[in-house]
Amino acid sequence: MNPVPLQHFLVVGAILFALGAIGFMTRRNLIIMFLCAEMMLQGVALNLVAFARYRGNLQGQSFVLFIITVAACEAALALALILVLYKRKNSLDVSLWQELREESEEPTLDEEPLESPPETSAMPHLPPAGREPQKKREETSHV
Amino acid sequence: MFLLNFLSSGLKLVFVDQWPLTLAAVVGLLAIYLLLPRPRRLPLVWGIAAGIAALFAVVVLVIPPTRLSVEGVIFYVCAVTAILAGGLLVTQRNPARAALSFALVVLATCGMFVLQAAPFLMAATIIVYAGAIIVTFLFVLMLAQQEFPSDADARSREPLLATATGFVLLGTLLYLITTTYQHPTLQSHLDEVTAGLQSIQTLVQQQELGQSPSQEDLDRAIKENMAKVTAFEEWWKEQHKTSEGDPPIPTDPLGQALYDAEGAFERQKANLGRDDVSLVDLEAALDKIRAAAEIHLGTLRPHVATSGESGRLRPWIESICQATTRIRKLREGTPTTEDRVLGLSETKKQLDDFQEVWQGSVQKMTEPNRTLPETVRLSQALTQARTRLTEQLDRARGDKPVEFKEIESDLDQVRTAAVVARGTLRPRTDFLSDLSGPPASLMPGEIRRDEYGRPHLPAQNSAYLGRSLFGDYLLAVEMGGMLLLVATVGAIAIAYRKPTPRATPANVMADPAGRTA
Repeated sequence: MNPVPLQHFLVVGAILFALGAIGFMTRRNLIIMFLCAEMMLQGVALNLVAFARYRGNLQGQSFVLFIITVAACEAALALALILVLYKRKNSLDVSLWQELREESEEPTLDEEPLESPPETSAMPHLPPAGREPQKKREETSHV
Repeated sequence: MFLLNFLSSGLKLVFVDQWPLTLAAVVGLLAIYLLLPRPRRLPLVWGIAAGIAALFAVVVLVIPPTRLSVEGVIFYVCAVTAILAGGLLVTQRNPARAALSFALVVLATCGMFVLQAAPFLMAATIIVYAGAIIVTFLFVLMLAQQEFPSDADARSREPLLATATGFVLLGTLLYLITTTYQHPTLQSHLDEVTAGLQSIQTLVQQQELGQSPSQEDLDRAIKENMAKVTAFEEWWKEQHKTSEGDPPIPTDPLGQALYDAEGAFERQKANLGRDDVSLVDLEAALDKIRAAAEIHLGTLRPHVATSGESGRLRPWIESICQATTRIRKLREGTPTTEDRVLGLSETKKQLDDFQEVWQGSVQKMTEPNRTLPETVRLSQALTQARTRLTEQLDRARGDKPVEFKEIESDLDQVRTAAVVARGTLRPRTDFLSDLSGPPASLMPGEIRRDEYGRPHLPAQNSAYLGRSLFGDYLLAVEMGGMLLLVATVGAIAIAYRKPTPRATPANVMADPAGRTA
């Protein structure tokens, strides 16, 4: 039986961290950005637990417990903030908050149009009520 | 010119020496870039193919599976699930599905926690994150449910730049991890030694069955394995070269095992002519190397000699080298009395300074009630050198012949002892109690290990974790609790909306014009 070497866990932790960082930088949905930040924390926690295992002490595991605490605080604050931001703009898009940028920066504009939602007629078509539908031949044959 | 050199060596490192890493990172970059949401969708096939190729490249080239065990299989399943789910979370357009893939990431990470003897953390993470994820999920259902694509979900900010940044970071991290913890050379030496061990074991079995192996077989086995051990030892010496260029002293288990094995092979080689070869001796020696090398592979490399306090000592050790040269010059030349007195008194002053600095370092770095044999040796050598210098200085002042040769050998001894003792310096460890396990500054060789080379951890994980938290980390626990309280209050304060005053009869009476509303 061969133990899994330390560096394998470190590599997985690094990959989770980098993926989370990419997600945090590219995604525009506030909730997904929050989830990506949590994934970065998971990568770090994995690192700490691996070091605790391979150094034979519990310090890494204690540290992960504090990470969980901080992550819980972060979740509470982030969700409250998301709620407030959503109320103001009625959308979860971070790019709507571009007025928070520096004065010298140009705003980024979305040039390519999105796929437009399928056309739906504005008013539903209502048949005149109170008339009996004409019976079709198959229907009568079944009865 | 410097810039050119820098660039060419950098390019060589990235594209020649570390091509597996570069390949994996570039393919992974492509995968994430192609899969990120954008208004005009790209075909999914290419992105998915690149993602699978990147995962495959990482598993095969960067973290190759060694002999697979049950533990290894569980690890790979968890790791692949975590990475795939992480990729899905980053590239998913639907926020509800993204929340679900984050749940998968957490579950897979918890699987890896269990593999690393952290069952309490597994439970805690599942409970806390499952709760957090359910809340997030509610948010998603409340706020983000749209039937048509929105700006928030169907567009990415700077997809190419962000992905490139992320993968440059990842490549650097992976490079550091692989160069620090994976020694391809050590692994190849280990494989060689294991193969040699097997060949000797077959010979031993033959012997036990009553067939004595032929002289040629014995001769070949000893010579081949001896070459392997010597090559291994050369590599070890190269790795542990001291900054003064001295041959290293085997202080770690691997060096010790190699040194012993070389002796064993020399002995048996001498026995070869007398037909009295003890194969069991060789087997034991090789087995010791194998065990030590396997432990060495799985642990940090000690690099105390170049950093921190022991790095500060380096110029002082060099000053002793200078003193030795000065004495040698005095011995070889024909100095006047004044020169001799001057040289000796300067040397004495250097030794005194060194002793002062060394005492300071020892007080700062080692445990109060712990004396190491290396430290004792150094202080003995120092005392001897200083006594001799004092008495020779008197002789020089009295214009009598001075024993320069003895002084030189004394100084040599001080220098060797100082080089060895310098390696024993490490930070003091009396900050934490025993409840948190052995201190982090312990050398890898001093940790108690099981038969696979992994350190022992307490069996009652949660009990020990609790004692450690409420013993050593009590202040931090209190502060964590405080932080939670502040966060709760903050969340309420942020999300609280002032109720608008209703038009009650009392209001209308006080403000008939209705200006408050």
